[in-house]
Amino acid sequence: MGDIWNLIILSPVTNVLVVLSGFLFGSFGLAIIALTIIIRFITLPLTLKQLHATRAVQTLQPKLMELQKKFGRDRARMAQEQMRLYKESGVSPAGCMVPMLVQMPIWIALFQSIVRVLAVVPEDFLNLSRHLYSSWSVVFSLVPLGSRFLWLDLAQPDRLMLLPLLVGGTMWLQQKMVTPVSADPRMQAQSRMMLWMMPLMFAFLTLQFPSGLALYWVVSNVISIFIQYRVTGWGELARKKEGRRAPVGVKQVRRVEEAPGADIVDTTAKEKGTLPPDKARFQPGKVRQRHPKKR
Amino acid sequence: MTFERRRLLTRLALPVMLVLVLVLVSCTGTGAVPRGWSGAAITGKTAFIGSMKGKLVAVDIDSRSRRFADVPFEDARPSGGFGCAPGGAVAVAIYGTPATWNGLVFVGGYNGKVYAINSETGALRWVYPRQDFVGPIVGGLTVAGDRLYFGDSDGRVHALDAATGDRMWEYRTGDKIWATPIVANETVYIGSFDKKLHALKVADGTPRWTPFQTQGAIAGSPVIEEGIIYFGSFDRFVYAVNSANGQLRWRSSVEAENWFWGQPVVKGGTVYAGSLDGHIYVLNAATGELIANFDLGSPVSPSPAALDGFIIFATEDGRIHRLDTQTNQIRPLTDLGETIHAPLAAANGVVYVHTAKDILYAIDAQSGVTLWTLSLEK
Repeated sequence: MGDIWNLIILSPVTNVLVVLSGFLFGSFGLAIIALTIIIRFITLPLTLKQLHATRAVQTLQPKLMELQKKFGRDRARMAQEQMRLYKESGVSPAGCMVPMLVQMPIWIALFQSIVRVLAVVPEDFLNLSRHLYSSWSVVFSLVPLGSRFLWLDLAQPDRLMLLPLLVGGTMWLQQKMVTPVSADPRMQAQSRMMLWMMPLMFAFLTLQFPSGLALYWVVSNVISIFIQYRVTGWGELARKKEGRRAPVGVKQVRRVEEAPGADIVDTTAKEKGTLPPDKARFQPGKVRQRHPKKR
Repeated sequence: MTFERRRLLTRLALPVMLVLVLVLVSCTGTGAVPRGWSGAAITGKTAFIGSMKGKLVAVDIDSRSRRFADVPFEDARPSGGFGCAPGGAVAVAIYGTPATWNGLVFVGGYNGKVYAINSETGALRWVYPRQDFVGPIVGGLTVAGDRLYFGDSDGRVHALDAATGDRMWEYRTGDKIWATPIVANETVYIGSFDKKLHALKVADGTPRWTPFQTQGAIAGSPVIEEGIIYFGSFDRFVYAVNSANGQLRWRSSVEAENWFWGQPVVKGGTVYAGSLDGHIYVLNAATGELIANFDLGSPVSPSPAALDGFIIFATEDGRIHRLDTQTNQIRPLTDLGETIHAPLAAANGVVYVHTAKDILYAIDAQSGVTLWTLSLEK
């Protein structure tokens, strides 16, 4: 088992890291960033699949709310209908897991590579010689690599605590973007818990593991945010931002305005700011249906 | 179970699984705990050796008993991540072979301290530095004149007064030093991970000549013979350099398939160098041309031991070989079946091998018979 792991995961990751650092001015930090970009590029189809699945869940929200109203009391029937809806829409529960599962072996291999390549412990460094490709002569000359990158010692946890903040912050941002609004308030509460749990947990892990691994997490999160933005925009983050910047009513009025057959009364006054803030709220009673004029 | 609940549970399972895997890797996966691989220093009838429990063990060779109670070297350390690394007093790993001089034994610790111990009683004479630490010490220590020389993993070469532990000078190289220095012609020669061989004046530690540049790190100690320094590099070549001016005499005609890790041996105009590719390369000392090449099938990381007319090599998988320097014939001597990283030591026809199971073997260099063994774990 160990041999297979070394052959398929550890040795390729180690050798690629060493070669990349050779191309990138001998910087192991830049090599980790480059490796992260390569891995995220390779797993891009999986990431996109996950994002589309998330978006599909978001678009199903109105239908889910309808189901909630219809079968809210009959939980078994509700579950059945939900599953049917997701199945019909082609949404898979496993779709969200795959990209992360694919990356887990990379994390472990990266951790093992960092310890070996940076000569943290003599036994591990001596063992590294078994994992270098004898046909790639350059790798033998390049190791051990320098462990300094910016303010970091890549073999040690960040003592300045900036990296845990970066890992936690970027992960929260990414989680916030992909977390869909649930129709079920309990689910919503659990989603909120997850939104905070993952970043806090990874920030804690950053305090325990070499900075090189945390650097991978930060870069990976930033790439995720970028891809997420390109595919679905700011997602939940945008809704929250909009909700804070402008009075809720204005945005909602605009949405209603865009809806076919709807008309708005007195929106100009709100948008010009002539109404006091407490009045600038969406008032359902002031929306009237547009009727075709009788000739 | 609703789809959303299942989705949430899936998301919850991921971090839990992640934590478990990372904790597992952190605790066991990489073996990232320094244990040490000290060789034995033979002085008269006593073998001094650093055990993997971080103790200096003094063995009376005749009676196979300890000369005095093992001297422990400990370091205070806070508990590590996830409670994997216990806190409190932690044994110091000892990699370098101890050095002896004038009733003292010197031990370099991976904690960045050098200890001078009374070789008769085991009492501590001095410790360097008294406060603070230097970089982790992996290479051995060398005594020449009344000075003690060693390198550390911060890339510094240190010269101390061997009697008092006072600092004489310090010289900084560009990277880690894991090699043992050698001293000849009022010069300290030492290889560094900065890929250079450094030559420093013993008087003040200033460079004797511009450091000799190779294409790979240098972890093995050099050897000097008739004004020529021989050493292997991570660029997979063996080099011969003029000790007076640092000029290249030759680079080996053959490139190994892995690093040269241990110290080479020079005998009768021939260089014998073991590589991690499992081969022993026999080279002409005058030209660097390959004379012979022996495949031992396992990395030759332990530095060999030279005796009259032959050299003893060990492979990492625990096999001991005897190479006849007259005929350049090699034959297996014995198989200990235990991992060996520590340099070999030899005296009076006996080879001393410290294995990764922390056992000291005394082996007859002629017959390969194990004369005695001693567990250093205690």
